[in-house]
Amino acid sequence: MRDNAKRRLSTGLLACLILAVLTGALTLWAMKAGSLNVTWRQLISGLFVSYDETVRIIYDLRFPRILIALLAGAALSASGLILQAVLKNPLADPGIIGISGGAGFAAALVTSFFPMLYFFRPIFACVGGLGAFLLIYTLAWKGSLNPVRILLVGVAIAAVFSGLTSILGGMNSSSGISLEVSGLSMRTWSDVRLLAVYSAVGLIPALVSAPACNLMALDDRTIRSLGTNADRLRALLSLMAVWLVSSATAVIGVVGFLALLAPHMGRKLVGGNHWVLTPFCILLGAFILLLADTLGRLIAAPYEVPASVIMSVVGGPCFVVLLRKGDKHLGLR
Amino acid sequence: MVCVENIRFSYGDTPVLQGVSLTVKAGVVTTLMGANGCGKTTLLNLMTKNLRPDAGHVTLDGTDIQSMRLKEFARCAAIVHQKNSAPDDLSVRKLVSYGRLPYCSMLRSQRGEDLEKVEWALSATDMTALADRPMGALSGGERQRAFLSMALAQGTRLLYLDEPTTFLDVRYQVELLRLIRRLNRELGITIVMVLHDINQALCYSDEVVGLKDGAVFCQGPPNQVISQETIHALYGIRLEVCRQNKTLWVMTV
Repeated sequence: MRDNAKRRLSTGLLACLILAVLTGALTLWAMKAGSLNVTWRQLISGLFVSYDETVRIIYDLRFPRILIALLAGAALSASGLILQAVLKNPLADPGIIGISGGAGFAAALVTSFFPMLYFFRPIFACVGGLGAFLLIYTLAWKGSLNPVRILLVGVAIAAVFSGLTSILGGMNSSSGISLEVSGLSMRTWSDVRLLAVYSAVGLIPALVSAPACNLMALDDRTIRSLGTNADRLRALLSLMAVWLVSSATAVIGVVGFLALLAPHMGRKLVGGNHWVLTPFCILLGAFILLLADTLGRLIAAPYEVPASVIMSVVGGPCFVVLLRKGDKHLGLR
Repeated sequence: MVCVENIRFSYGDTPVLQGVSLTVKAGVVTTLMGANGCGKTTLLNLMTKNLRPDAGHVTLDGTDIQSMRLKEFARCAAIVHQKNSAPDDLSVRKLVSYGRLPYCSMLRSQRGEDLEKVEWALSATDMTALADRPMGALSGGERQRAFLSMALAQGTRLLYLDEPTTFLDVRYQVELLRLIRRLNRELGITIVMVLHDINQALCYSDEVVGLKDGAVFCQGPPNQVISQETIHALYGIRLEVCRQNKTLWVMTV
């Protein structure tokens, strides 16, 4: 009788497995590909057997950015998925609605005034992200959350924070300190450690919160009549999502559209059950951001196209398509 | 069973309810009637802990519902709303199993007892055959029945329905109301609902409560309470009321 549900679950897990293998393969390719050319043999022997100058450089420069792309992609995608569940809006993207902007601004503030707090940057970013989220929430609230209002208010907030960050950058450029927390280039192993710690703190609860995300798909009053406080649940899940965005933003800066596209593709491919969807989106986000970064390294080598630029160029049109398709859901029709 | 004592409530400066008192008898179908804006849905929201009264109490078997935790309340009273959303790919059985949420934590898997209750709720609402369908494939009437089934799975003795038939065709309206009536008769579930259609309210209720200007205008069995005068007082329009062997009809044209 429940074969149907079981089959869907196992198909979903299979999809996760395939995606994991693909991500692994992409990672291997990303390790090898780039302006510094090495053969597989050279790479392996340089890593495990004997010292090799080229491999050493690759290990110090290329590996961290690969890991950071994977971690940040996973964190962004998971946060987008949770935000969309919580705001009941399939188009909620932390980049578009300004949460990343708030986080990025806070991170830039910390970098410019308290550079010694490097390791705590994600926490400050999280405070900034929460501030932006609360702003969006209060400004878009009119008895209930109107999906279109969220997007409109969010766009304004994103613009303000991006402007503030630019002002901060302008004020600091004379002193020669760079606070560009954007992009994946020049990342070090300490960035990897930082992001690994913070994103793990967010990703593990995100995986476990699958039933809560599933429940959020019902109306708030239905959730309430089932004895669960929807507002409290929403606050907890939002905090988790903002934490994830902020830890990624504190390390690689604002990347738009990833948190929109990955969950959307995920929903299309494995359905809306978060037990499968959340792990799938985490993998998919990692895959997409690493792909974008690696392509960015190769397209115009020796110059680099930042992953965020690639995401914007590809993501923008996709967003428009989704917006048109989502008319029904957004109540625009 | 449910006692509403002198409830006052206002949205901002607009008073909606000005001292409403009523009692709901156990095992009976009670319907709240009244014109648009008379506060019947507000009253239902106050009775289901969705709103907090400015003054007065709602008690359930003697306990003030404001002092009950949400989970506790969900084990005593279930609610079906007029419009409900659910993801299209959610199966009916999964939706109905949410009805067991008041009894278990979100992470713990459901026990045998819960699963039994879910199957029972499905069969009581004739949804067993549709249990594996995704919600997106259901008609409006089946959809509403799925939510009724979820409410039943909560295993409560009290069921609130807020205009459950509003968005349904007449066939599904009657089917749903008959089902509700059957649940009341066969399982003894106390039912409190808000209905828009006067005749359906009269036909399927043991008691009607007429609300007017934020207060109870009349309460009692439809036969004794409803007349041309009360209909005029409640809805502000003169309509013909016919009696046909104990059955009451209001010509709503």
